[in-house]
Amino acid sequence: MLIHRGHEAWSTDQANLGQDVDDELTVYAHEHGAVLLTHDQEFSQRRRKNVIGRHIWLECNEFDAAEILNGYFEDVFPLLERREHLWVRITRETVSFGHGWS
Amino acid sequence: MPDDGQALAESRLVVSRGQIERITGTSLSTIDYWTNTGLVRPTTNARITAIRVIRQYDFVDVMALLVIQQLRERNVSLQHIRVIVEKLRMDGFGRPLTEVHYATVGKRVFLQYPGGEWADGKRPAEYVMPEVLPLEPLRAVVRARTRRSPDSIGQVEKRRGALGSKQLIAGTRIPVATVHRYLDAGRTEQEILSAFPVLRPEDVDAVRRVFVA
Repeated sequence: MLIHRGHEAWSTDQANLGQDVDDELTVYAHEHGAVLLTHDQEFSQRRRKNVIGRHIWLECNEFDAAEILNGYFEDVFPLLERREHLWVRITRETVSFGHGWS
Repeated sequence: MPDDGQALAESRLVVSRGQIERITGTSLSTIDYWTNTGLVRPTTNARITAIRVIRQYDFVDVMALLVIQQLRERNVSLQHIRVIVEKLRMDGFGRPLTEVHYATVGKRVFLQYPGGEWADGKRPAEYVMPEVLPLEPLRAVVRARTRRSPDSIGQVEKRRGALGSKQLIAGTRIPVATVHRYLDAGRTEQEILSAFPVLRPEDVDAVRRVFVA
């Protein structure tokens, strides 16, 4: 979906960070000007205690993720462009976001 | 030279401090020393808390480490390498260990610029056979060593600091539970392998085993 929309998208394995911890991934994404996409609650919660870079927590199952992200994309994209450090939580029903501890 | 696809793949790849020893074969303390003294400059050197620094080496950084290692194996002193690197940096080379070609004759080092000319007009004499340090084989080494380790295939693991320490497919950040959800939803092994190209059939079997146990 992201590539179809003209964005670059790649996985942690392509970054060679498959064997590494969450902080490594966070810093990598920030340094590359990228936005992390995760389904993982623990990852997001931990990151929100010390917000570095931008990440989206997709609180849905993997099969629905593209459809849900696509549905909110026009709302979320401007937020991501405006903020260097930001978390976004997307569920089927709602979007929430912040840039400090939550 | 890498093609466009390889170049893009290389531009996205990094090696964390935790993996750098395994991938370069040089001890972490040595690499830290080279880094702390400015001989190599990791692409990322970020302090994220008072006590936690994240250091990541990109593809070219890793090649640079291998170049130093090879020059050291040819008995070129670290001090000499440092002088060369500093001079090249002052000449405007951002990645001095990989932007020029190195040739050695004994302990003497000759540098050839990308255009083919030799640094300071000094080239190896015609009657000696210089040992050229080719970069392409080093590039291949980095590519090979940054692939997922075969030992991890078909294994699961927990890693502190990764995804809340939940069970993961070894050598990846893919939770076992995620693959299980695919199986539960009736997705075929082929569909799972397409969704997660880093996985192998043995990994899917490992997930089945975890959930049968």
